[in-house]
Amino acid sequence: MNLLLSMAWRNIWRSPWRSGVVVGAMALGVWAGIFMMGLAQGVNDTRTANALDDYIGHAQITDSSFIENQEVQALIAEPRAWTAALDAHPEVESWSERLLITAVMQSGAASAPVQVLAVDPEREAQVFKAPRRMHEGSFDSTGITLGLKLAEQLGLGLDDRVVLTFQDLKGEIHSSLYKVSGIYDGISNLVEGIQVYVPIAELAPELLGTVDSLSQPVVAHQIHFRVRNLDSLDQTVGELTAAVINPGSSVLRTWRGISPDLRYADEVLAQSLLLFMAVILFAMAFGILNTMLMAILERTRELGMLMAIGMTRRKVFRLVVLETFLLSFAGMPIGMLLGHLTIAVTSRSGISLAGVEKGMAELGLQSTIYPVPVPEYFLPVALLVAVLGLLSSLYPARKALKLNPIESMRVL
Amino acid sequence: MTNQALLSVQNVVKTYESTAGPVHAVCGVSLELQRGAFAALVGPSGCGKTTLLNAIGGLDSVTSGQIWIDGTEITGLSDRKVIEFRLHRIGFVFQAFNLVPVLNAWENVAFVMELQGLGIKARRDRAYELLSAVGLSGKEIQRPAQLSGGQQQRVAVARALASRPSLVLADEPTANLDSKSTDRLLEIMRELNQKEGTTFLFSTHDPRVINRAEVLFQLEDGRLQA
Repeated sequence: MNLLLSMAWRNIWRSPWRSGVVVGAMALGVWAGIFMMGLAQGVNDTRTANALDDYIGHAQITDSSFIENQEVQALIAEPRAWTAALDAHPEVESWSERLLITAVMQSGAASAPVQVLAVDPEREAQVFKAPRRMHEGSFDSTGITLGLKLAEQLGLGLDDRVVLTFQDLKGEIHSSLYKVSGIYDGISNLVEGIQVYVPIAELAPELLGTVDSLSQPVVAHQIHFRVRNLDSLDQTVGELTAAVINPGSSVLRTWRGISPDLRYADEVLAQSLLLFMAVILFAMAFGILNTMLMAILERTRELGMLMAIGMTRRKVFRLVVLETFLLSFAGMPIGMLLGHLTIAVTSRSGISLAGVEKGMAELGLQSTIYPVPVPEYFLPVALLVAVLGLLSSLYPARKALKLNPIESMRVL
Repeated sequence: MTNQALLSVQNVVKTYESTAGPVHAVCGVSLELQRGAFAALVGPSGCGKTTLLNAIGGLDSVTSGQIWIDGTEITGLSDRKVIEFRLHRIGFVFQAFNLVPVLNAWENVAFVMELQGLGIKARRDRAYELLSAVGLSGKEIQRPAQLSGGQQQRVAVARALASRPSLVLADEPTANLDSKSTDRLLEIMRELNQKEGTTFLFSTHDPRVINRAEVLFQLEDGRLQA
């Protein structure tokens, strides 16, 4: 091994306690950073997964004008062409058509604005999880299914009657009476408080003003679908788009296009986590700087002697930088390993935040968070440690550089 | 400078500025030292021995005058060149041993050779050979803290010779040693002086060193006495 490197390493351990504290602090800082990264990534992944499972799906076909104004007339031009393509594609796991209208729901005691999703209950349950999280009743009946929050808000229970008032395709105001047949317990309070489900076979004729095709509706505002492998979503979307020869004004968007906030959340999170780590390491850098300054002060005489026997200032500088680097890096792998192990354990057991369950629900999250391993951050963290190690070495190294051999050797 | 002289000091003056006014540490000293000499700068404390030795070693600048070593005027060299010159041509032995505590005996000796860019095998062979020459066979992997003062100073002598310098400057090398260690050290240095032909120049007021020196330069109040 290079003698300079060996000397730098041994120099660190001349004050085992002092260096041990710095190494321990670095390990602790990196551990905390890595764990927080895993936790935050877990929160974000869960939030994204919940959104995809609850109300976005993996991808969606809709008319371009519906995206802009959600007008009830903006139906998909050729829904059967799309559903045929979806049925034929091996990567598509399931799909569900929806009619989506804004309505006012009125109970005996109160009223509230709602978003009515007219769906095929069986298909909807294959794409989304909300129909499977039933608090009471069932999803696949002829009545209306609403969220627990909305039910509490309006004081509704099973078999109660509500009136939905909405505008049909002809622009006429239409009112329909429904019996509450199910109450679902969603993850997001936001969704639970506004989304209600009715069978498409019930709503479509009322919306169209016809009784045609009750069991096989041929109208839809949205067709949502899930794929078997989310990693190949873009490829599947491309193939589906190519398969539909005449899509008209309908467009196919992935979840990233439907909900850019989720996509940006991923990107913002990555930047924020590294910034968070940088702040931790920046604080560490001051500890390292202080330790190295003390080390230089204590070894003034020795450094002077080394310069006297022929060590160039450049090599003295290199020695100090090397020592600072080694001191910085010694704790990093320990912190990374501990962080990774902590995540590995908690990713199975989960971290319960039952005390703030309601707040979590407002954010669309369950009360148990499952951190995810973040090995992709190890290299950026190592680079951050290297940069901060280098920065914190500059001042002590400059101090060493300015030593005069004769004056230094006079130091007792 | 005569043809044979390894060291030539010509009218060197070193003046320090202090709050009480200028201090004339060395006042116009001129001397020559032949290659292979075993010489000593002697005189009482504060007479300028160490200042002159430091100037000869390029560790300190001079106010005026010239110092030539092996045909090179070191008083005219840049800081970087002086360090390089010291590394290849001058060996130092200090009063307080000044070994690197984290390196063992052979590594301390080999460190100068590492700075010179020698390979690991050459370094190790030379370090072991020198440690054997100073009577420290078997102590190669011991750290300074595990060695006695005399042994540490012998490692320092081996280190001073590691780069095969033309001149070894030893500043009060026996000041921290007992009589037995002093005798042994001087014996070793004399042997190396004769065997390797290395020139030694001590600064000392130790009579045991003075008695062994071939050439004496007597300094008093910064001036060389006849």
